[in-house]
Amino acid sequence: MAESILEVKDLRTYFYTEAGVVKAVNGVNFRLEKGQSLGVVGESGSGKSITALSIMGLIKPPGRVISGEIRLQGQDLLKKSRKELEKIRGNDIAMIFQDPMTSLNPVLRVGEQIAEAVVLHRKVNRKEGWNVALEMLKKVGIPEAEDRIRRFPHEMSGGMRQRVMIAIALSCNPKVLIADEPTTALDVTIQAQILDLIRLLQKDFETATIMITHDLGVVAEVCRNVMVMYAGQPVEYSDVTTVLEQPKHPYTWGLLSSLPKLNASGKQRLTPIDGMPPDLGNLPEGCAFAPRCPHKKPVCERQEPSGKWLSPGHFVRCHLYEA
Amino acid sequence: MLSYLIRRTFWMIVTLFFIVLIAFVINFVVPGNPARTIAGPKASPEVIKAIEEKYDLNKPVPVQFEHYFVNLLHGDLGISYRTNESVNSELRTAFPKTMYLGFSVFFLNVLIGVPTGIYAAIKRSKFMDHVILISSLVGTSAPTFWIGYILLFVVGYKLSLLPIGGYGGISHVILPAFTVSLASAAGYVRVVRTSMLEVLGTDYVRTAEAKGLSQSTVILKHAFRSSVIPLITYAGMDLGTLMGGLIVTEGIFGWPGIGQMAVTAINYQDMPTIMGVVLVAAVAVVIANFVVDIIYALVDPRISY
Amino acid sequence: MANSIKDKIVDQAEKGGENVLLDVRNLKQYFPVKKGVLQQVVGQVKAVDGVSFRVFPGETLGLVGESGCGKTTAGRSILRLTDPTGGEIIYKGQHLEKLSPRGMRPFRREMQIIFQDPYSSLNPRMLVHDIISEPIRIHHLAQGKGVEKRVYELLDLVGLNRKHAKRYPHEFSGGQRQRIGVARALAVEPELVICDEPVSALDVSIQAQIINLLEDLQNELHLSYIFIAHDLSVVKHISDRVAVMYLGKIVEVAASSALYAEPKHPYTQALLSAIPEPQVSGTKKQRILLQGDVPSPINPPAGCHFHSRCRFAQEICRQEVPALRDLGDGHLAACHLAK
Repeated sequence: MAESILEVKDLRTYFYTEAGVVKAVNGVNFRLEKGQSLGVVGESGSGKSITALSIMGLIKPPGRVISGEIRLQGQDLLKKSRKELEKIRGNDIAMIFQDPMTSLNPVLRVGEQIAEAVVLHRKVNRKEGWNVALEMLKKVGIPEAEDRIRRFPHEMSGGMRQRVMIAIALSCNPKVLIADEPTTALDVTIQAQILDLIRLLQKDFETATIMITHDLGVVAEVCRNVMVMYAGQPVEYSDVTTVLEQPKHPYTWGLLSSLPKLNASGKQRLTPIDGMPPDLGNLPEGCAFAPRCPHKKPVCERQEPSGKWLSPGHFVRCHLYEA
Repeated sequence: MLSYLIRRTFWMIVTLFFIVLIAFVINFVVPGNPARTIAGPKASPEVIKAIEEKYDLNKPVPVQFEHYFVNLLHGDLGISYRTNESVNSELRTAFPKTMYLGFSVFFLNVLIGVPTGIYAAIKRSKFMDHVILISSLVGTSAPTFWIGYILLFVVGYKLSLLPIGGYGGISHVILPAFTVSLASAAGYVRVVRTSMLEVLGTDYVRTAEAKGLSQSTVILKHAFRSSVIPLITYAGMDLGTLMGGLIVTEGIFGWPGIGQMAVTAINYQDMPTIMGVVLVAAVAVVIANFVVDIIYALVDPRISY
Repeated sequence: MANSIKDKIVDQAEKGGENVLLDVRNLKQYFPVKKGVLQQVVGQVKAVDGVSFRVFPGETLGLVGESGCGKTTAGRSILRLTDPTGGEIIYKGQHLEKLSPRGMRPFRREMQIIFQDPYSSLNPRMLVHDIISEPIRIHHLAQGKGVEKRVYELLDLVGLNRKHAKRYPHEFSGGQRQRIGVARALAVEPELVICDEPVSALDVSIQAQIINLLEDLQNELHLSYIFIAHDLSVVKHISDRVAVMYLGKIVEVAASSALYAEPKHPYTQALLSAIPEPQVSGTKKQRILLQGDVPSPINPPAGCHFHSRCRFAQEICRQEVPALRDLGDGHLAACHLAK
């Protein structure tokens, strides 16, 4: 097995709200190898973004990581102090967020927003920081970088701003890059540009990538492995071909059959998943997907499936496969 | 930007014209004959008539206004009925003193309001946040004259730490400045707290944290700068109230500024002086608001006129 | 699905049949840009710049394009939610573009809109019952007990529980709120519904539920839809015909299957090739990457608006605005080079 960069074990992040405990992340496990790209797929409320923020150490009250391990090259991040985490964030692990329109500081110049991370982590002076910023802007394909570096975010388009976000994230050559829905807010033609860029940089920087998205198409484009999440837990994990072509979990089936197909000939009715995602503050007993599952058995409503490796690379959490 | 400034200046002039007009008319709505007040209770009708003649008080109101307005355009605010001195020269002595007090208040507002507001935002919903919020509520609701007299009595009289009144250096300005500032700084605290909370929840603050910046860098460099804009707006709107507070406070502490001048002038129905004070105060507020708009564009690169 | 009926509609549309529900001709919606001391108008944002299309009874016309292409603005000016700068809007033979607000009233009943954001398009202080019954009362479609009965019918129709009538919008999930929005639109028994990105804010599994609902309602009530969206797979799925917009103009219109199988306009080709598809094996399509961003609609490129990003652009494209031409079988494209 290749060297593992990041290993997450039994991660649980709960939010203690007035209405009760919301179990946003409820037992997430995965391993990320050097240079690997993992897609994390799920609908809103599946816990995919909270998993990312937990890894970054950016969970705010009333939320709290209550148990688990997050091992970056063997070291458990959950045991680190705030100061130690600040040295890791933006340096060893970096993150790109969904909305490029709001993720950049409107009152600071683009160059400064890249340079400050470089100055902080690489211990260089401001001038050198700006030189790195310029280099990064060129690398992410921003035309007239010498001019753009002195601009403010509002003077740039959404696609350009997302390039700037990528430049910030990669400026310190992180080992792990977490991209949280990086193209959801963009138009398709711009999305294609950004996905191309991410693919290119993945190779260039040899960064292990976690791509969080609701779009299975995006996963097919840039990921080697996929983890499908539902109600705070991974329900299926495998390589991208298996998940898209021979999925085993009923939820993954449901997701795929909900999608209108571009290459379908003639009109076919969509097969949606019935019902709604569960209330994370009041999860059903047994399998969280059982109330919506067309294949549920009596056991599904009583007992939580523990999950099973069907083959060395294919994990499914479903009673259909547990004997 | 230039065309904005031109438009803005035009509207400033229109505003000031209406302020002059309204203030002028109000003088004639209040009961009483200024000439009689000037001449004193025992004056004969002839004397009163002579005074009316001297100050044009027997002419129709529009004529009086025209007269006043033409002089105003020449920069002449007239002669005080009471002291027989030029209003211009009286204002020239009094106005800087009010400005001195006013800037001291502003300085205190920022000094107290901004750090307290930021602190409350960081400690959101914790004990200190509640303490700060309640004190700021007390601060805004307490009447200025009441705060003034309490400070005067306790700090000035009982403890004899500071002079109890009059004009002078820093030791003289502390008490009156505090009196006005306690109320308006409380407003600053709440505005800073609210806008900081809003900014702390934005995506770009999260981006800043994700870069590994320290908490203080995130707050001072990323969050505070963008939260300044609502504060500037508030400071601009607060100016009118501030003027009111100054007038009351000058009375309590015997501060010889335009507030004192106004109070005396109103008692004597000294119209040229009243008009002069109103005009100066109005110009100050209008210009300050103008400055606020320009500061906006300097602080926030997204705003351009 | 009644495929034969749908085919007939498309057929009719392509042959330019007589039975037109909505005929939009050369619609223009400009917004002035003001500047200077006296706030002179120095330019126009040409959000919609000469758009023409027809909608036939019972069909779904998809309107796609990227943000800023004018698809939403077009939808709003058809409903006269904004006053169009120019052009004609002919609904069942009547001109709407010059009607007074009073004159528009009967048409407001026949043309409804469903909005993108199910969170902000419902008044948070109104009960679901009141949200749905308000249009019924305004248009005097039922009285007394009849109103209630109608509200219940509508809730049944969109797949909500009758108990839901006594709740507030915030108590519902996004998908359910969109159902409330649909019920409100259908309350006045419209014939044409403009669906403005009705599923973009929803998760895929819920999105599929709403798409199915819209399709069922169309069959049951013989509705016509103008379906505005940026998601090309969704538009393909639901539309009989599709119009592609770029910078305020329609660049291509065709039957859905024809457009996706054989896009004629270079922009449509690039747009379709850019969609990431959830498949790994099989023939991967060749991606056409467009360079740069969409130009500003205040100062669009001369000639063909797309020439600045088009890989085939020639001299004529920089000079002449291409007309929307019929390339056969009702497949229209606005491109000098398309065949």
